[in-house]
Amino acid sequence: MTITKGDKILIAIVLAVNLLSIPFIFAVQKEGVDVIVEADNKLIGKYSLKKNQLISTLGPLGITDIEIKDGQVRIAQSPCLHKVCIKMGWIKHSGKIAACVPNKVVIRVSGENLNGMDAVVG
Amino acid sequence: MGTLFDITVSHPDVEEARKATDKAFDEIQRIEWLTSNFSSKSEITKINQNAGKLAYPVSEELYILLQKSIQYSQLANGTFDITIGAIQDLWKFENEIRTVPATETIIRLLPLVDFRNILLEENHHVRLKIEGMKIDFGAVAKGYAVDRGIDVLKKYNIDNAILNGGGDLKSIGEKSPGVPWKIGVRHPCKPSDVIASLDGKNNAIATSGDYQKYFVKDGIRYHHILNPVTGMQAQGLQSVTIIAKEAMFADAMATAVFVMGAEQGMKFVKSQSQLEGVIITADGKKIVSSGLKGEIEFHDDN
Repeated sequence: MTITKGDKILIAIVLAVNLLSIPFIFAVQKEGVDVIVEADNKLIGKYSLKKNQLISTLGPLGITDIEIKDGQVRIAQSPCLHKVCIKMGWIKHSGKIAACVPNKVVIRVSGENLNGMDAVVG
Repeated sequence: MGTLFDITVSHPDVEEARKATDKAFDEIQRIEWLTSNFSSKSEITKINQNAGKLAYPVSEELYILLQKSIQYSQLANGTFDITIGAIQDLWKFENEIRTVPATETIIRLLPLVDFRNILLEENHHVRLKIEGMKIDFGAVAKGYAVDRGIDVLKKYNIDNAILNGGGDLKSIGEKSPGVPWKIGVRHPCKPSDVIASLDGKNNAIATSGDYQKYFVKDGIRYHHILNPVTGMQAQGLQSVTIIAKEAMFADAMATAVFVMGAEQGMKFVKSQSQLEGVIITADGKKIVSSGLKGEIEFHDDN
């Protein structure tokens, strides 16, 4: 995607608020039941929740492990101090987010069921 | 707040948008510090520590937040109460090991839950009347952060945006000229779906649901919305969505209406000219306030 100056663009930014720091990332379009992994504001990849797997990604503090199992995903291991990200537990529903704020890793479940919505409450 | 905030902006200049969202997130982080009782140094922690003893001086902003919260409690006749902290703590929704507190413990601590015992004194001094009382801003902090975040975006020339704080959101402007923001309301039984949608029209929308935070023990589901009068889970509803001008107000009133239940709750919404709402009952019935009819579209079959 290229952005030229003056283009009307949509920017979606995500923040994980905890007691430590302020991260933000640029999110990407979503389709299907996948998890989108981002590290240090960059898209790392999109992975199907249907395939059990372990994804390791590098952030400023080190490696964060993301586990996909039985249609759910979680941050399984991360080199942060308080492990808030791991405590967030498994997520599986469209639009749900978990994040390791100190290591700047964000995982977001995309999905086909929330089609057409710009935001969802609840 | 244990919540993720998500900002969507429609703006012609990406750099300007990025700067504005940075500033908005800074503001949200500041409010996290202001309203949190996790930090031992926060004003809320100090007020709580001095409960039953001293009046503690707080910032003007926190004082106003407390004033507003008390007004909300009065308006909602105690179905919303920030002094729920003492009971909320018993349920330990944040912990991995979940236990159901003993009924005797709940009954013993219930007298600590009463917004009338928050005394706002001169020079921004706050006193909790009874030792052990505990303020928990859980039901308003997210909404307040959303309101303030939107104010910051506006200040930095953003006219079209949605700020979503995990169940509380506020929208300004539109997605593109002539195309309104589309806001979905999550389906309480099928959280991957939306049950309804409506246009975001410079308003705040907040949902309280029994599916948002809960645990199951011995076949019983214990969710996080507590009735301040009983100290137990509010019964009878699956979710309440409230539309108002301010997210903080919508947030608090979604909790209050959930506690009130279907009949009282809808009566209350109708009595407040600045509120609209949708109640979804435990048996799946949808009750819509009159101002929303024609504005809200349901996406399921019934």
